[in-house]
Amino acid sequence: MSPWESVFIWITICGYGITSALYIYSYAFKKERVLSKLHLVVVAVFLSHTAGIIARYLAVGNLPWAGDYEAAVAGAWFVVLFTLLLVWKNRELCGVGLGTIPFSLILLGYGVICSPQLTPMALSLKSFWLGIHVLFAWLAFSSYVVAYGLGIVYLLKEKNPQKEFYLKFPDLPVLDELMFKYVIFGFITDAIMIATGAIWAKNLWGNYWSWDPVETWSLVSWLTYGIAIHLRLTMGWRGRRMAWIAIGALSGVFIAFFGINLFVSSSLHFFGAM
Amino acid sequence: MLKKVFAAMKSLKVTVGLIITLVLFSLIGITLPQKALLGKEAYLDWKQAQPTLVTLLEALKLTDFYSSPLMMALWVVFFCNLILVMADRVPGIWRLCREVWLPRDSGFVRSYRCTEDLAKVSLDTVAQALERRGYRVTRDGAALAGVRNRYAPLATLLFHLSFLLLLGGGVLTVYTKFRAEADVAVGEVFNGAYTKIMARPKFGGIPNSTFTVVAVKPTYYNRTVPVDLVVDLDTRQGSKRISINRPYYDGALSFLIKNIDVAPLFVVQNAAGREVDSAFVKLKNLNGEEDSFLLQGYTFRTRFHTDIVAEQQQIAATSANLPQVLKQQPNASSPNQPKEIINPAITITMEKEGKKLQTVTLRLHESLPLDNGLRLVWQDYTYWVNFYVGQERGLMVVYAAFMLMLIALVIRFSFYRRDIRAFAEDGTLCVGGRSEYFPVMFGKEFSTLIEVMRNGRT
Repeated sequence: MSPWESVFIWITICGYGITSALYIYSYAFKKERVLSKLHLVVVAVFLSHTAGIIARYLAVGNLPWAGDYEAAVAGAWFVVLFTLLLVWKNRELCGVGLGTIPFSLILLGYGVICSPQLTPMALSLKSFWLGIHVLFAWLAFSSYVVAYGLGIVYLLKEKNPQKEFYLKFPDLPVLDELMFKYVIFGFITDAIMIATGAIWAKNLWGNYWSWDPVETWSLVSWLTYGIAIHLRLTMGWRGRRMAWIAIGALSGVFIAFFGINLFVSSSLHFFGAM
Repeated sequence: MLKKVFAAMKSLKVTVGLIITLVLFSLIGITLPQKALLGKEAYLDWKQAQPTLVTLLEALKLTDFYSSPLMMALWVVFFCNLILVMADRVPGIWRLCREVWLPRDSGFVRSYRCTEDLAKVSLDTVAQALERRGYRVTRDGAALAGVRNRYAPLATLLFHLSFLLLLGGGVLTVYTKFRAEADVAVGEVFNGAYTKIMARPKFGGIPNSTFTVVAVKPTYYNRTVPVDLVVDLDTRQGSKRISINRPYYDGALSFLIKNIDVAPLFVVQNAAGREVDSAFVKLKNLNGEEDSFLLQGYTFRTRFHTDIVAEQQQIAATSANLPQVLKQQPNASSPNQPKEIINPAITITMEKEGKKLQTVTLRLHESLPLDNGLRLVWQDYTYWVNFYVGQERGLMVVYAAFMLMLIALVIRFSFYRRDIRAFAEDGTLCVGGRSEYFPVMFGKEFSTLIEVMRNGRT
């Protein structure tokens, strides 16, 4: 990490750590006043996060889309951006951060222990398609994470329908519809991610599809969300079932992005020097 | 029996079940090492280490899982189900798009999710308000029907059709797939002499192309990390500059830069200095490995030094206090040596009939005496490129399928169908509305619409 990047990223990690703790505190002790102000703290931490990314860009000359660390920094940034946009449009949804902010914290933590060194971008990653592929990957990932956050809020509200703390949250049908919207947005952007990845793979490896573990797992995640959409549209799975699917399906996406490194020894997606 | 199977295959539950099975099966392919991904050497090592397990997995076709008969059968069932579900739904979707039902009474309208009774509002006002918002309005007496995005359900068919296109593109790709490697040095003309052919097309002959490699220009960061690689070609279509991620396409045939290495020019001279033999030898040396070549009946084992001066300085520094006899000359290049060629040298071990004759480190233009009065001179060097050559005829179909899929998804979920019905009865206008998706959002839209109608604004 460059010096300024280091400062901003560690402030960000501490900030997300504190806000995650405050989210849990406000839910556990039903502190509505704390919860309603938390997104303002998240905005401040998000600015530090953005400054960290800018510092990285100035140091290495490319946006953070190569390697585990950069992927984690960008991924967490998109997740928080989506959370803030959601809260900005629906103030009653300020509690969604309970699911998404700790998630961003874990992501950032994972990135920092992986590979924060300043290295020039590998030759294989210098492609116009990489930018598009990664951008849509993060859009998909972030909307799936927000759907997961909404799923948690839905289940909590459903379990405590009469408690005053939860009455401030949107009605269950509204939460359900929002969750579905984010799943659909994720599904579409995920499809674009897979398609652009295929085009890039053709130029880089000569095959548009190689059944590589990362490719396969991305397809598996996409199909999982496809099942979720089918179940809702054709069999009427909504509400609690949809919430559980939104929570459970995220594990597949998480493995596709980060878990493959742990399970598989060879993948075309381990980018070397050339 | 056949009818029952047919009926079951049309079921959406079967589709969901099949997708779940595909997901579970894909997990097997991730869990078990796959031959194609491991690489030949690693696979053979694994087989040697665990012969029983690998033989068993091979017998069950689990090391080529994605092309195994089991997986193929599953895909076949999946696509059969897709076709049957689509065929089953086409008439219904077409009818839904074509016909617009007018309400027979206000009871019909009240069955809609959102309803409102409007007093002193005419059907004309409703029609105008709807038309201004993109609804197509049909009227008959006291009944009115407005539909927005009427043909959106067709996108469902397009989405599923894209899977069939993907299948078509995939099959076409498999049957026309050609995979090869070609090693071409700078100045050399490639005219179809592939070094290795990995996959031959099942239909059609081996594709060919012709070009000359004009130049290879690698750029390194810190002399070690490659940050750019440009290869200039002279092709039938004129000069082309290619690089990693930017292959050369000749029709459907693509040439990707897979690797580059060094190709020294060795000249065999007689005692009078006349050239007897010469060759640009494509060696795999730049990563620090040993390679060999045959010339004039000798075997030459080579190691390449990208910067012999730096190496010698390093050795001198580390062995400064050693006695002269223990001071070594570099004869084995390190895998960690810089990639950039600055002060090149080659350590050559000369062998004949398996017997080692001598080892020397040559710099450019230096020579090695052979035992028959001839000399091997290292005259020059250049780069050679290892190209990965591929051809897939179905690629455009696959891309078209992706495109169609995305368009269909966007249409389906952004421009979903909205229906408004109105019926005038006893001086009151009953208005009802519903949408295919997102009822809460549509509820807000409907309230705004009702407000507009109530206020008489259009």
